[in-house]
Amino acid sequence: MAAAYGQVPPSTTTQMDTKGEEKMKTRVDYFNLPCPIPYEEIQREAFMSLKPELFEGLRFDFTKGLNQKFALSHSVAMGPTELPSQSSETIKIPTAHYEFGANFIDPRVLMSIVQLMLVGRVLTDGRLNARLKFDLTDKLTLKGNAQLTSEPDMSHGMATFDYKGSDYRAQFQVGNGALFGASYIQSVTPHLSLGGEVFWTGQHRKSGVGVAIRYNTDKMVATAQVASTGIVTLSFVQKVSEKVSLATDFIYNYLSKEVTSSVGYDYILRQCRLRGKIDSNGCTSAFLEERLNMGLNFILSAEVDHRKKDYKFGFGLTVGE
Amino acid sequence: MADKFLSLEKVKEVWHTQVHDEQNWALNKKLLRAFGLFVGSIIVFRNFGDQMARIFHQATMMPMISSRLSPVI
Repeated sequence: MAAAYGQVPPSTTTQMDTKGEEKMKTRVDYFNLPCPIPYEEIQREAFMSLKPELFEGLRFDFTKGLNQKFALSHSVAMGPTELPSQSSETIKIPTAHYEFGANFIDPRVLMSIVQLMLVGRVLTDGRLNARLKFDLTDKLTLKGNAQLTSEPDMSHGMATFDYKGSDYRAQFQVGNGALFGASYIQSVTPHLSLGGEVFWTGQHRKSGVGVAIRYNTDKMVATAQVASTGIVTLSFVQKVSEKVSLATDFIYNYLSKEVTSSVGYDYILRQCRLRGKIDSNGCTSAFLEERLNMGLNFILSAEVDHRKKDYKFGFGLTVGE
Repeated sequence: MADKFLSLEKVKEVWHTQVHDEQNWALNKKLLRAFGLFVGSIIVFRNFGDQMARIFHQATMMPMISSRLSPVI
């Protein structure tokens, strides 16, 4: 009877609304895509799992926060340093150095993001490292880093401007030695982003271009990057759970004819984080960070290369945040 | 007969230059090994990743369980 008077029964309307809502959910809104990650971090998941900070010898880091914004750090490192050599043999010389550091972080109270960050490090061999990060606006960030040494022509500095759009990011770099670089990355679909970069060095009269593609879901991340410098990089990370990630990468330099593939894992336990990998050249490595107590971490590092007969073992402690 | 884009002779020529040439084959062997490791890892991760994580979790839990069962040792 209701249908005879032109009124649709409520059950049918509910079904139609539900189907309509489902259709709307499956449709992609190309004017509302997510903002992609920065171009230089396009392989960060694989980098975090497969390239931990391996070291050889002893390492001790102590960080003391003086207040909410300012902290001092002391670092001691003792161990052999590898020198570049043209032969296949590895040349190492024993070194030891002390590093004094200062960190200043000024958070923006309202939006709870770091507006200004200054980091400085001074080493006993006379080197000074400095880093700056400053949010000029909500979308524009200025980054700078510099390394000053007493050796002639070995000091360098670089400034970077990052602009974050709604579904894209753009970056412009300028450094000493007439170094200019730019990169751009755009979200094409909710899971796919494409990017490219270009750089030019006036001092060495060299230039290069590169393109990259990244596909990510909740469970996996796949990336591919090609550069005119001759490097092709592929990576794949499977996020098995919140605590376990499995990663693999493939790096091929078609100019120097070198190729390497790595397979690794990243396992986060309650008290520790364990990362390990093996590559196609037969080199295996592992890195363990164990939390002994609040603010006290124990670190173990190992890298074994039977082919080159190069064995590196390291241990250390980090105190403070 | 008209020349085809992909003829048997061209295939043989590529095979001889890439496989029978020692220098090229050394590089191709490394390339195949690395790419095979990469692709094989992806296949294993996607098909057996959950099982690998479960086995690893059980292996790391075993020392904790055994230490609780035999505190004297």
